[in-house]
Amino acid sequence: MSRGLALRTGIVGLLALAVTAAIACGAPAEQEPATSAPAASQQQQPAATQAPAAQAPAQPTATAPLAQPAGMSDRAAGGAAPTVAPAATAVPETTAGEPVQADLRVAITPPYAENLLGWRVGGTNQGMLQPMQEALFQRDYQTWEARPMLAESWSVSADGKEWTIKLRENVPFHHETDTFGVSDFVFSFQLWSHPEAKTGFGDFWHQILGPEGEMRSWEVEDAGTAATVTEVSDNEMVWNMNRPELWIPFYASEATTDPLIYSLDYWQTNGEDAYAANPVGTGPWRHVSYEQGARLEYERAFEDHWRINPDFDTLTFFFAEEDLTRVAMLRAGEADIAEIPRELQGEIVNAGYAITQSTLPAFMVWIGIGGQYLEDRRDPNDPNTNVLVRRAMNHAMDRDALNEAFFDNKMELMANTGWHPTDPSYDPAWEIPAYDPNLSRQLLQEAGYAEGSGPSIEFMAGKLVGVPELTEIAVPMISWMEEVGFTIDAQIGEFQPIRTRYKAREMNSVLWTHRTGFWPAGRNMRVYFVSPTLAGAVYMYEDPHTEDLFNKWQSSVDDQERLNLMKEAGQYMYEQNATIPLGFLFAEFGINPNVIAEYSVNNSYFGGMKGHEYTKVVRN
Amino acid sequence: MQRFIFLRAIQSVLAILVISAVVFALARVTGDPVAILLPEDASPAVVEQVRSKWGLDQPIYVQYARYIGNFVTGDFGEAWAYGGVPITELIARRLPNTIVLAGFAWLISASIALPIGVMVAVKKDSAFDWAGKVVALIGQSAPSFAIGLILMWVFAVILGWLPTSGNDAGFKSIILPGVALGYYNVAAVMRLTRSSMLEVLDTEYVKLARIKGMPERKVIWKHCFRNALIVPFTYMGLIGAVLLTGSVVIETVFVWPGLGDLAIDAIRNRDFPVIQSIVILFAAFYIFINLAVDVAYAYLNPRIRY
Repeated sequence: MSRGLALRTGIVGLLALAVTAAIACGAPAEQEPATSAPAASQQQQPAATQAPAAQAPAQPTATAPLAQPAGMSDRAAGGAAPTVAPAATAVPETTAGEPVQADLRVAITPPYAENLLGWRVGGTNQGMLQPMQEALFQRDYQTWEARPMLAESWSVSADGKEWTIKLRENVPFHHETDTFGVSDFVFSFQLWSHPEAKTGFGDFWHQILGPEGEMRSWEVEDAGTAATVTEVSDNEMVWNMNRPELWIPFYASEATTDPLIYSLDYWQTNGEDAYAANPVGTGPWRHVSYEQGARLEYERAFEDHWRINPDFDTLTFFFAEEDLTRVAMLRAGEADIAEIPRELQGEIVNAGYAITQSTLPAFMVWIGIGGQYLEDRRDPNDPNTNVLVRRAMNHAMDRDALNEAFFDNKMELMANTGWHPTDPSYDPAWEIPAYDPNLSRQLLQEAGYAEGSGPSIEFMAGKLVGVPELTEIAVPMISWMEEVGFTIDAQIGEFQPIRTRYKAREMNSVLWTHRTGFWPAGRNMRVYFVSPTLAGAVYMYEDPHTEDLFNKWQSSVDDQERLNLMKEAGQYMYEQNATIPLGFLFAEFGINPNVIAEYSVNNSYFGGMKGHEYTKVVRN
Repeated sequence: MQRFIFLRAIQSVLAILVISAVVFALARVTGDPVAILLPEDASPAVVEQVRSKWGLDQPIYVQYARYIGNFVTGDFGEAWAYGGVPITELIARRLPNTIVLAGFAWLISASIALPIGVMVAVKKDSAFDWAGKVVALIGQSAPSFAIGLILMWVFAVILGWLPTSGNDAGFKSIILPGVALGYYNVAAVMRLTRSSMLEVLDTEYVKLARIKGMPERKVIWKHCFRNALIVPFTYMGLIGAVLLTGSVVIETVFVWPGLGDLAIDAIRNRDFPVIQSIVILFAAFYIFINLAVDVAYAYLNPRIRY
């Protein structure tokens, strides 16, 4: 026994040594793509100098300034919507040759709440359903222009209250016994604004199309019919809205979170539970299976989908919370696309994989200056209410250093929070606040603070999906502020306490890091920069002047007037130093260039769950 | 014995009640779940509506009484973050995965720790004994998620033998999370086995067996090991509960859709009903297994009397 034992011990020891050596020496047998990663336009270049692949691998999008997205204007976003609709988003041409792989596997951070009925969980949780469900409108991935999706054409009356929408005919749902029609839209809007819905725009839909009174949805109406929607035919409807609204092609597009189309027929035939277990939509992918917390599998729905036929036969989302797990999945060949945090991207590129970017910025990053409330919550002693203090804060920040240290210089710096240079109401004269500690000190003195005895401020920072650096960037910013005289009480950790406080409008004397998706200025105003009276949500800046401007903008139906109002609001907030603007970031993903020829869509808000019907496979 | 079991059962119910109250209170200290679970642009009207639906507008003692009242009837409530899915359904979906993982990790712990524990006792103070101590030290000192990531990197990325994560590759799926979870307990069981074996090896009947020429293999495995098993066996019972309830991090790292993974999501979302249900369930596991071990111990060791 003892000899056998010794022998076994020796084998075990050798194995242990071999494993240790393998770890210590790197990864000699590690799987790498046979072809090198793309060399073009990538700041982190692969170390290898192999020849380029025969098939062009994914070309990461450059961070060069974008062409003016006309869709950011009121008109193209639905302002005075075109009566002749533009063409649907172009279908990529089929590439010759056999696909190297039939299955597309995507490793992503999981939605924080999972449910196959999107209206029950709301927000970005619905991103995982976008392969399966479509909306009335689509935003062009390059230009942000409104495109028809399930709506084929549309027109709006002069008063902005009557919308006539012609729907695409003969679009089947996945159960194939029903085609999309007016009743499906009405039923869907009733779901979005249902009392149990957690959709961010539920109130919006109720406001414009809901019945009068407290109750919403089919609590007082039948499913599929609404007094505000006239069914001209199964494929044409007229909305008689409760108030004017010109941004319908934005609010009813797949770029926002809520307006996914559900089948009334399938719901009535099978019931809600069956819908939740095996949902259907009209999208190019059909639901196959779902393991909560682990994966969601789709397959190509139709031989010939009306909009696009995906390159891949199946699409599987793997929900991996841990960053290193997603890196391992990509490198082990278990995922073809993976969300990779910025600090690990260099390693991926060095191993021969590529990083691809969204077509448009996906995130806007800034620091909120709390306490700028209307009279009811305003504390006149709060230093944040003093514009000189806010200017001092802005000039205390070295944005270039932040960009270099944390974002690899990939962040597009921002002059005025909420306004991207491509927004029609953006003013090119706006300047990014320069890093000038002396000016900052001087401004504090002008505000009445003795040198070195600046205001006491609470600085909160919490992590948010998509921009994990939100906590890390707080550290140097706090130090810069202390350098010019501020006294900072730093609270760095989770984002939840921040959200709890701003929702309660209790952010007096507080600064906090924040990020959102890439939205038009008007949407940013509504969510961040108006009070609860105007259905604001974050209450980061409330001022009687901007409240008035936004209110007029919202009820105006004149294009030029709306543009002027939004410009004026932007200018006022710029002059008031309403926030500490930082910049815009693109969404980035690690891809296996042996499998993925192209994955570049507008990932705003939904990250790697979006647009995989446009993902192109490498072909032999 | 019956009296002992009865008293322990009463104590268990009380313990679960206390735990439920503590968890109920602590969960609410973390803040308002509505702020997390509703989209950022949800209006105040929607926020109030949801708060009312979930009973969060009621005093905390009313919320607790309602929760306990429903709980004893088997109604764990609805998962807020999962769009109102019944929690019993969520748990029923996830629990089997956790039991399979914990069971496999238990087997890993036992199959590594017991033989090595015996061998290092037999080879006391040898290089083998020393190596065993190193193995034990690593197992006790390295966090299981770190062990898990190293295993993932070596066996999935470098060697390509096993999947990195998930539960869709059959038996292969469970090997890495099972080893990562089970390895932590190897050290303790091994040390207990070693000391227990050393004690037995020093007894008169073992010396007599050797003097009478009994083969060494038979002496060790038939006479020593069986007698030395009582202490490690007791401990391994408790480990079963630890593995069942301690898989939270490993399930997250290996995308293993079990209760631990669900617990992490629930904590992140402040989904109070789910947090409470899982913690109470974990507590019940722990208490039940403790009780079972105590009872089994009494049967295994006739000297124990309650």
